[in-house]
Amino acid sequence: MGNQLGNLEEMILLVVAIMNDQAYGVSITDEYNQQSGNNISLSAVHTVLRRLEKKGLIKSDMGGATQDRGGRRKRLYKITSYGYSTLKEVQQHRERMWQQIPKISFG
Amino acid sequence: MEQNSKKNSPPAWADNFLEWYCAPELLEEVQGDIYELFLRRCKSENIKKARFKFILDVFRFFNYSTIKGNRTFFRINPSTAMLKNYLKVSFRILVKEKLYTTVNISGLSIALACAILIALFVKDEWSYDKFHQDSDQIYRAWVKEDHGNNEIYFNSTTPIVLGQTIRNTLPEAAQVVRIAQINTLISKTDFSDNQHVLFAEKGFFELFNFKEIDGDRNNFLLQPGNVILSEKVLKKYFGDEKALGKLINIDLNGEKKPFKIVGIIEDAPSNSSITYELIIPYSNYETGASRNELENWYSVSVETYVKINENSSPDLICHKIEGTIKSLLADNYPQNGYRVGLQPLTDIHLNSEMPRGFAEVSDGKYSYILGTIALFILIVAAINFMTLSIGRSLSRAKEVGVRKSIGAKRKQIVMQYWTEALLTTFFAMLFGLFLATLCLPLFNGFTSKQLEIEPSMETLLIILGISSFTGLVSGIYPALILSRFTPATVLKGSLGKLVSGKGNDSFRKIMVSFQFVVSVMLVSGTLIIGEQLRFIQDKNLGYNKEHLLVIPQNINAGGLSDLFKNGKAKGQQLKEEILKIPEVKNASVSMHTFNQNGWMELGYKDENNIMQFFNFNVVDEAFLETHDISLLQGRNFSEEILSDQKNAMLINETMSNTFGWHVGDRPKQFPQYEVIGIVKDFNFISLHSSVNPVILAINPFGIFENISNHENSTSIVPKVTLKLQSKNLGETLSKVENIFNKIHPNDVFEFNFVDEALSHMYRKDRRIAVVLNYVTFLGLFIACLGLFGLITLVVNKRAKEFGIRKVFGAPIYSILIQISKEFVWIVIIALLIATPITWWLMENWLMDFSYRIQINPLIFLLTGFIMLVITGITISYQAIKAAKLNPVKSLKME
Repeated sequence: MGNQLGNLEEMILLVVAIMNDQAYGVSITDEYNQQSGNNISLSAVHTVLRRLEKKGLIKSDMGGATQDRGGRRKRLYKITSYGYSTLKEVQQHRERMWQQIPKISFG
Repeated sequence: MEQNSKKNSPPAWADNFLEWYCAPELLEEVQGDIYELFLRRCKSENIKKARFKFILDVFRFFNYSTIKGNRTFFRINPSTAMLKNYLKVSFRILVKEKLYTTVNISGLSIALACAILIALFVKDEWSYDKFHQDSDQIYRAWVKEDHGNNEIYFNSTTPIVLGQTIRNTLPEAAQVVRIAQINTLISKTDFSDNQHVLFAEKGFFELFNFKEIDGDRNNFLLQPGNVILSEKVLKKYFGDEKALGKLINIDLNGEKKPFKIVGIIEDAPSNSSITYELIIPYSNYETGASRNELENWYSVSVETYVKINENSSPDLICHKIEGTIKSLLADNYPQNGYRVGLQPLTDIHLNSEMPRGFAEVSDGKYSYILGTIALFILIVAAINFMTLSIGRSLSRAKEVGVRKSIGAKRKQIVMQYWTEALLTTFFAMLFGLFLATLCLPLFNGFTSKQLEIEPSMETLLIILGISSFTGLVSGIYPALILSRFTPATVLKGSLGKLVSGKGNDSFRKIMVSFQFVVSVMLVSGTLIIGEQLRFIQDKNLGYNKEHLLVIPQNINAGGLSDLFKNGKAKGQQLKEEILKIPEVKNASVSMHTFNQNGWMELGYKDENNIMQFFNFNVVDEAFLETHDISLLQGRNFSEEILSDQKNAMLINETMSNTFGWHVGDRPKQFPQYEVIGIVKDFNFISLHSSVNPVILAINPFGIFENISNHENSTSIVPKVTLKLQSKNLGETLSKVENIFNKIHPNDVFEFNFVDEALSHMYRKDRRIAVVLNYVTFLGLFIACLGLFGLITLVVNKRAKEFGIRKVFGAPIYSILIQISKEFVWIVIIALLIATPITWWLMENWLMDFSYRIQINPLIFLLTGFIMLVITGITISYQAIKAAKLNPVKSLKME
C-alpha cells in the first residue's frame, strides 16, 4: 500500500465520501461524531482535511455564503477518484486479512 | 435589534486574535465554521457557554497548520526555508562542538559585556544637556580680552553687561538668560546648612527644561523674594512636610534674607551641566554686586546663555556684538581686541579646551580611549572565533563539499557560516547582557555615574548593533574562505593542503599576533599609567599633606576688606583656642589652603609694560611650619619683628628665578615690601600643571594697591589649617567643633582633609586606571581563551607527528619546545610591534602632566615576560597532555 492512511484520516475520508456534496468543516465534524460516537473538535477535523487535501485524496471548492456563518462561504470537500481508490484499497486489504483468520482459533 | 445582535456575537477579542494569527487563505473557512458552531450553540445551549466554547475553538485552531507565520515564512518562501535550515545546522554544531562553543561564547560574552558598559558610559557622556528641547539653539557666551604683551583673559564667565547688551541690541537672540552662583548659609528656625544657590534670570525655566514638581513654573522667578528648591534639598530641609509657601533664610551679602518657597523642581538630571539646589531670581545677585561689577566689561562673574533664532548663526551674532562692544569701549578697547564667542550648550561637557565656567567638564578624550579599547576587545574576541573556525575547517570542509555537490551555491555557504557566527554572538549577547547587568553597580562605582540599562528602543538598537557587528566580523573569514572550497578537492581528500596551506596558516598567525599586540598594549599601558599615578601620589609636593585639616569660616560682612579682616581676626581667635588641644601640633590662618585649587592670581605691568602674573596668599607666621614648607634662604616671618606684619614678603623659588628677586630686595612694583626669604617650590595646584610664582605676605593691602589685574575663583575668607598629631580623630574633632561653635555660634562646622581633597583631584586619572585594570584583565583573559582553543587544535593536528617523534625517542621536553616555539615567536613579534605604539600613546597621555615619569624600557621587557608566562600557563596543559600521550594512541587515532 503506497499511501499510509491513519485511522482518523480514513474515517474522515469516509465521511467526506458519504456526504458527497454537503461536506464542510462543521457538517463533517457532526457526521463523524454521530457515526463514531466520539467527540472530536472542529480544529482537529480541519487539520485532517488539510492533510488529506495535500495528499490528493480530496479536493475542495468555496461554496455559497449563508446567513448563519456571518456571511462567510463554506469550503466544500469532495473525494477524488484517487481518494476513492485508496479507500477501496484499504478495504480490500482488510478484507484479505480477515479471510486469513483461521476459524478454529476462536473455538 | 442592535442589542440582540450584540448579545449574539462571540467575544470580539477572540475573534480578533483568530484573524491575527490565522493564515489569510484559511481564515474564511475556519472563521465561518467556528461562527456556525457558535450560532448553533447559542440556540441549543446558553450564550455564556457558547461564547466560552467559541474562545476554546479559537485556541484549538491556534496550531502549527493554521498559524500565519510558518506557512508564508518557512513553507512558501524558499530562501527563508533555507534560513531555517541554517539555523538548525548552526545550532546542532554549537551543541556538538562544546569546547569551541564554550570558548567562543564566553570570550564573546565578556567582550560584549565590556562593550555594553562602555557604550552606556559613552552614550551618557554624549547625552549631556541634550534633554533640553532647544538644546541645539542654546549657546553659552565666552569672552576673550587680548591686551597685548601676553595679557590675555579668556573666560566662560562673562561681564554682567554682556547679557543686557545682547538682549538690547540683537534681535537674533531669541532669549538671553544669565546665571550666577554662590555658596552660602541657608537657615530655618531649627537648623542651618551651607548650600549652593543659583541666581537665574526670568527666562531660565523657558530656556531649560527642568521639570517642576510643585508650583507654577511661569511664576517661579517673578518676585525677587521667591526661592525654588530641588527635590533633594526639599527632602533634606522639610522631610515629608509640605514646603510650598514657607519661608527660609538665605545669607546674601552678609545679611539674612527671608525667601518664600514658590516651587519644587526635580533634581537636575545627572547629564546636565547646569546644576542647582536652590534657585532664586537673578536680581538678588545684581543687588549685591558693586557698581564696577555691574558696568565693567573687564570683570567677569556670570554665565550668559543665549538662544538664537533658527535662521541666524552664532558667528553672525558674535560679529555684531563685537562691533557693539568696540564702539561702547572706545578708548578702552583692548589693544588686540575683545572677542566674544558662543559655545554650543551641548559642547560644554566634553570640551576641556574651553575655560571652565560653573559646570564640571570632563575630558572627551576618555570617551574615545574607552571606546577604542572596547572595540579592540571585541575584535580580540572576534579573532578567537575566526582562528578557531579556521582550525575546525578541516572537519567542516567535507560538509561544504557535500553541500556544494548537492547544489549549494557559494552564497548559501557564506550564509550558513554567517548564521552560525550570528547565532553564537546572539547567545553571547544574552550572557553578556546578564554579565553587564551584574557588573553595572561596580562600574557605576568607579565612574561615579548612575548608568542603567533601560529597556528602550535605543538600548535595543545599541545592543543589536554591537552584536551584529561582532557576529559579522567574526564570521567574515570562515564565511569567505570555507565557501571557496571546490567540492572535488575536498571530497578527493587533498584537503589537508587546502586548510593548512601557507595562506591560512599565516593568516592565523597574523590574527594571533594581533591579539598579542593588543594584549601587550593593554598590559604595558596599564603598567605605565599605574607607575605615573603612584609617582604623583608619592611626589614630594613641597609640603606635607598628611594630617592637615582645613576649617573654613563664614563671615558676615559687607566689603571685601572687612570680610578679610574679620575673617582673619576670628581665625586667629580660633587658632589660639584650638592650639590648646594637645593633639593639635600646629595651626595657621591663611587666605588660601591646599585643599582647594584656584589661589588668587594677580598681575602687574612691569617696566616693559608686559603683564606679569603670580599667585598670592595671605599667611601668618606659622604657615611654613604647619605645612612643613622649607625655607631656602633668608628667614620666616617673625612675631618679634614688627615690620613683618606690614612690609615683608616671602617668595618661592620660581618667583625668584623668573623675576630675579633676591632676599633683601624691595621689588619696584611693591616698594613698601622687602623680600625676607625664599621658600622651596610647593605645589598648590594639581600636578598636571607646574608651579607658578608665588608671593606670601601677612599684609595683603599693599599688594592689592599695586596690581592691575586680579582673578579669584575661591573664597578669600581666611581659613584655619591644623596639623594634627595623628589622624586619630573622633575626640579631637569634637573638641575642635566645640571651640568653633563658641566662636562662630551661627555657623556650620565643616572640615576638610588636605590629603583626601588631593586624592579627589586625581580621581579622573585614577578612574581611568581602575577601568583600564579591569579591561586589561578581561582582554588578556579573552586572548588566553583563544590561545587555549588554538593550542588544542594545533596539538590535535600534530598528534601523529608527536607520536612518531616519541617512537623515535624524542624526550617530552623537546616536544614541549616544538609546541611552544611558535608562540614564543609570536609574543616577541607582538612585543616589537606594540612597543612603539604604546610608547607614543603613553607619551601623549603623560604630556598632560607637568610632573611625570620617563617611560622605562624595562616596562616592555616586563610585559614581554608576563606575556610569556601567561602564554606558557595557557598552553602548558594541552602541550603536556600531548607530549605525554602514549604514541600508540595518537598513531591509531583517525
